Amino acid sequence: MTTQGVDGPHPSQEQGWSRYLPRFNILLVLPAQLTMMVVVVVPTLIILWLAITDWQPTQAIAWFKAEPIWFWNFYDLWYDSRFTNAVLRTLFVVAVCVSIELGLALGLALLFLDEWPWRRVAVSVIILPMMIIPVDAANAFFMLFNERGPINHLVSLVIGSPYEFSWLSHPTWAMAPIMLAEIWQWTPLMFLLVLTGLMNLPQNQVRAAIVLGASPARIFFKIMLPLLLPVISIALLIRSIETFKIFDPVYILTRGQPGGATETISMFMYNGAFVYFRMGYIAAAALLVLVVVISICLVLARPMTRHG
Amino acid sequence: MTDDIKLELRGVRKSFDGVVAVKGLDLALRKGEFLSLLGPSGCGKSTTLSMIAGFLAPDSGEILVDGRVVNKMAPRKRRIGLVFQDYAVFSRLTVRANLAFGLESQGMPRKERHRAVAEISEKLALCDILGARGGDLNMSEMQRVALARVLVTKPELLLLDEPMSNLDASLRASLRSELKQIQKDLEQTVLYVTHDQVEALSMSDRIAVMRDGAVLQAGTPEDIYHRPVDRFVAQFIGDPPINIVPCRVEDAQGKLVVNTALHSGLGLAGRDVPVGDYLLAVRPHHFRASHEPREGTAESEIRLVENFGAEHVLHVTYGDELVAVVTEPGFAQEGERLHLSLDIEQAHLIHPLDERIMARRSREAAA
Amino acid sequence: MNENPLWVTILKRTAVVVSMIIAFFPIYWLIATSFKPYDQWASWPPVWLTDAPTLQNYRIVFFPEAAREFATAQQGSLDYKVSGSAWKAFQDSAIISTFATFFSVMFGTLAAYSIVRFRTGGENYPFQFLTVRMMPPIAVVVPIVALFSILRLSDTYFGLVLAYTAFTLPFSIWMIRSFIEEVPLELEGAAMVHGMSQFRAFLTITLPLIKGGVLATALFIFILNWSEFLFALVLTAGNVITVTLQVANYVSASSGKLYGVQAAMGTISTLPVILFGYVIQRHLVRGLTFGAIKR
Repeated sequence: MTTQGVDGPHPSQEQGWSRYLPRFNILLVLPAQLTMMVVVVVPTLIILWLAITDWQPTQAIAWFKAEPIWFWNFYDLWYDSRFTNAVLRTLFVVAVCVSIELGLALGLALLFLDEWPWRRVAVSVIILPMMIIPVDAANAFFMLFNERGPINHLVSLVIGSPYEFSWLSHPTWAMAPIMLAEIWQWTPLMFLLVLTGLMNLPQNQVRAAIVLGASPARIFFKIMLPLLLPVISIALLIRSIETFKIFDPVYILTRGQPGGATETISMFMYNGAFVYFRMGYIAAAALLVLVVVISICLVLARPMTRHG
Repeated sequence: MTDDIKLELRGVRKSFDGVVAVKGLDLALRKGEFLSLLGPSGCGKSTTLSMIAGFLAPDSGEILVDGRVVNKMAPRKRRIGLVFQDYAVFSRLTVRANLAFGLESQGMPRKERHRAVAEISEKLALCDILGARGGDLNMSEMQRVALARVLVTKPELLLLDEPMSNLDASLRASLRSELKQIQKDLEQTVLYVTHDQVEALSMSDRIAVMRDGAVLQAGTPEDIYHRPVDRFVAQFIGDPPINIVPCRVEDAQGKLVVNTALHSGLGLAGRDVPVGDYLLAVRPHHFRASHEPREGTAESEIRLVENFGAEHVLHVTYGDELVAVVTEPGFAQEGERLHLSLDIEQAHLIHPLDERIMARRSREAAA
Repeated sequence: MNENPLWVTILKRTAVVVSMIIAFFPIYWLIATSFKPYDQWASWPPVWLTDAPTLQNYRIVFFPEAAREFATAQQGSLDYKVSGSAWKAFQDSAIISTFATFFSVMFGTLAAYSIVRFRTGGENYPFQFLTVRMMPPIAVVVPIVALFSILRLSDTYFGLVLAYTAFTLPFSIWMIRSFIEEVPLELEGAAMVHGMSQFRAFLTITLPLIKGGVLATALFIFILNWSEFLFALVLTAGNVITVTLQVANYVSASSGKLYGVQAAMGTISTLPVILFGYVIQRHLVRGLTFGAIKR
């Protein structure tokens, strides 16, 4: 870490004993940096080791004494359809959830452009989902999509005969409640971001477009959307990253069941490490994910600085 | 006569949360006319503009365009051009797209659009920056783009909201004449909102002076400058500002005369006012200064000389106060004494209570 | 001026009302279920609004005796985990969240100050902290478990506090950084002219100015800690238990989830978070975008 280009006084240079301490500004970041070292950097190094072993805590061998099996974990992962499916499923969830969230948020935010009496109350109610604990939200959706839950009841009322579909144990449809829970909980965040962006839009550009005779659709697509682009890209970036990590609703709603049909990357790794206790194997998967995620993020993080 | 009127406001009122911004405004704008709405900030001129453009609905009263009430008409259907104070150039579009935006919205075919854009960018010297993005322009470029963007749509009525307030002083002077020239060439009807009296005086066919949400006086620049209706108008127009000194009107053997701290017995021929205390408003150009005493002069001392290049403004004692007097450069030095006379024909008598200007002869003669 | 015809306005308001209903309905169901007696938890047709509201579920949450009575009443066949009362979970969550929030905000403030005023570590240094938020926590959980086992931190308060501090540091550093950046350097400069050290100037001039922001950051991070599930699940083994774990705990092997009890626990555990959320509503956007979008 460099300290060049630092100006400003350094009290440590003047006092005798403190000459031996790191420079003042380094001292200030030290607590944060050390925490990161213990919880992130050292574990990442441990992953490098675990990924080439077949360590399983059930074997009563300390992890640092485990037998290396070199690159067989990666070979196995490549041919493990449960892993590759989990990766593809996660990407699918990210793509679908985030784009639905954005679409809903844009539509919703446009409803809030003008002033009306109970507007603030409406905003407060609409952002309620993002305020609650994700585990509780998942529980609520567990009840909603129960065979005997209100969703099936509503369907029954519409089709006129009892409908007791087991959403959560259906190989294809079990994903739907999970994704709906995610969308329900996080559309409000996207909505809040887009609304903030819309409120901060240069009003006169919109007015100028109105006076020039543009239709509302034209104003939205030609003037407002381009102006919103920085906000939208930040929102998409943040939501994509968060959705990629999706775990709580999966754990609460299905734990990856039935038969791994709802396993996302996080759920796959949890099951592998803490249900089947294949720590070495999962460390290899974790290493792959870390490498991919961090390299993607280093590229994507650039827009954040530009509009920061 | 009536079909000559482009825009008319009848008793327009608007208040925000009980605070009256515009109270009973009447205004008429003829076709091809350049009318300035002149007033200090907060006088309601921007609110008026917003109502004409259609962003605000008046609480009461009527807004008529071509004799039709447009109170309820959507802004985009009013065929009004508007140049904003901050120009509101579409920052994410190129200058070309900015210019074409209005025409495209109106569904003009591609070819005609290109021709119109080329024409207007020629006229306003925008050809070199057609490819630049709106957000990358400087202020004067933005102003020209904003103007061109509106003019190209050939609006029936052009509203300009303080379009020069973001520009350097040196730019303003050249833009004033340029804008006036364009307006004349196109016979464009313009409503120009400004707080700058120089802009209003130099460009307008007529000026409406606003204060506290109402028009105090509407008339030609000459009218406004030479025949203000009250103290506010008199003081708001003119640079350096008009001098105001206390005076007394007395009856001297059947003849009304004005006495001030320095001058006495100034004739008030034709002006029929009751005897009493008044204020006398005299423009700095209507004092005469001389080195020698003459008839009707009074002696005074120069306290300060302001050099404006082509003319000097002397601040001289006048009773207990100072008045400004315009002279040619090098006429006198600070500390010198000189002899002052004033042109009573050009001076205005202001009623001390309601601050209106007492009627003068020329007006009565005309009426 | 509103140029929409009336029917468009009605349509728009209707859409808003529908959105409000959708946003609120799952929460309504959670709360409604928490007051339902046992036989209405999963009856068919489902009970939308119970006609026999009961506090039994809340009693089971807080009093082990009530839980035991309940179990016996159901023929004693319910082998669900009633691992103590929820008091323990609330107490543990409060301790862990408070300490982790305190450390995160304190370390974050110092680091943010250093980053803003000394440009410590250069332009890319703050991004190192952001990458932590980008990686899935599950990916580092395996080595953390391994590391904690040799450090004897598994299933301890300190272990969770450490993990929570690290994983909320990106938020505190970036959020507080954005607050400090809004305070002009000249204010500190003026104090330093009078002989104050720069750090003292920060403590006495800048910190009081941003204390609202720091407080908002703290509440925001408290919410994150209180809601955290994955680390709590993996790094504990019964000795330490958080509210989120407790919520997931009301499961019986023979008859599945205990909806009513779970809903009761869910309702009360999420209340403080909702309250804090609305207190800092103004800052939520800034927090969740790491200070990139301000209000």
